[in-house]
Amino acid sequence: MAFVLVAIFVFFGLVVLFFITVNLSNVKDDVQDLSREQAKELAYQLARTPEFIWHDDTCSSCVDSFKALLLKDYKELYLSYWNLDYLVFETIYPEKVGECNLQTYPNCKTITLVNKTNYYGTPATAYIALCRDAKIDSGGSYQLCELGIVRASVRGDS
Amino acid sequence: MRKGQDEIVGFVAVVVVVALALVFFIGFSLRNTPDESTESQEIKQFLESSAAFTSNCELGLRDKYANLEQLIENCHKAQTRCLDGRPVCQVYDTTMRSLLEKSWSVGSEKAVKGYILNVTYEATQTEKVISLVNGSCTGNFRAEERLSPDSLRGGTFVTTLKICT
Repeated sequence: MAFVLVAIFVFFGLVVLFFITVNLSNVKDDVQDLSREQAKELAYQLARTPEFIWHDDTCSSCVDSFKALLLKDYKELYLSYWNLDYLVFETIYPEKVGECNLQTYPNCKTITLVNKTNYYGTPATAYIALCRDAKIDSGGSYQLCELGIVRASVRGDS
Repeated sequence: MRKGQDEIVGFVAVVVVVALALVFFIGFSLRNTPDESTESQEIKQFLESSAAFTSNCELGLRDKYANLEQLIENCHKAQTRCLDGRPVCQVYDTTMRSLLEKSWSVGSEKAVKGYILNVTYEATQTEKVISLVNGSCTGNFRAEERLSPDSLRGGTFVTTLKICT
């Protein structure tokens, strides 16, 4: 009987050790998941701030691409409080290439607003519609929205 | 006899303890299944953004390009065409496929095995408007839907996107 009791205790000890090890690794994963979720949510919320939002209230995911382009010159003033290491707006469809500036816009792919380090981890992403007023030949303009993505990495996120 | 009884009690105790530990461990593991809400958020954002996408289909007036949400409404109306003569449903089909293919790379060797996009119109009864399928959808999947009210007839367009992994 004594041997059985010893065996039970040893077995219990092993189970508890195994359980603690698994749990600790789960806690690490949970921390990473939370951090990723936070960054993902931040990416989407960023696109909905007055600095970027398109003037049409009915579209919650629409970003004014021209506002984003103009913010390149004022990023320290408007973006410093977000604590970002990386923030890029990118057109997915239609296909385009190159970095945007006042000369290449709107025939360009990316608007890089923040790129502070060489290593910023895996940026959080959110789908958005990049909208602008496109001119028509007869005068006037119409709303043109393209499919885009916002990529953001929070300071210290790895 | 007494020793034999002790052995049996000991054996039963070990079996009970092992069973309890297993039940506890399995229960805890099942409770920790990953939450897919953030991944579905990605599909929700895609559906929102693609609905605002401006197509190359002029509806009614020159230089009045319709977005995908307007294309769905007009696809539901029988035989609606763009000014250049293309059927609206066909323009929706090709544009949405392009957006999906740029967002999720589909293939049997890739992380995303396929997708199914269904658009239905729900009023007193449910009508199928359009359906796009690509790849295989037999395994796990993430899905999300987007509702857009039809102001003219009081129904609702439901766009459901299922991404299969």
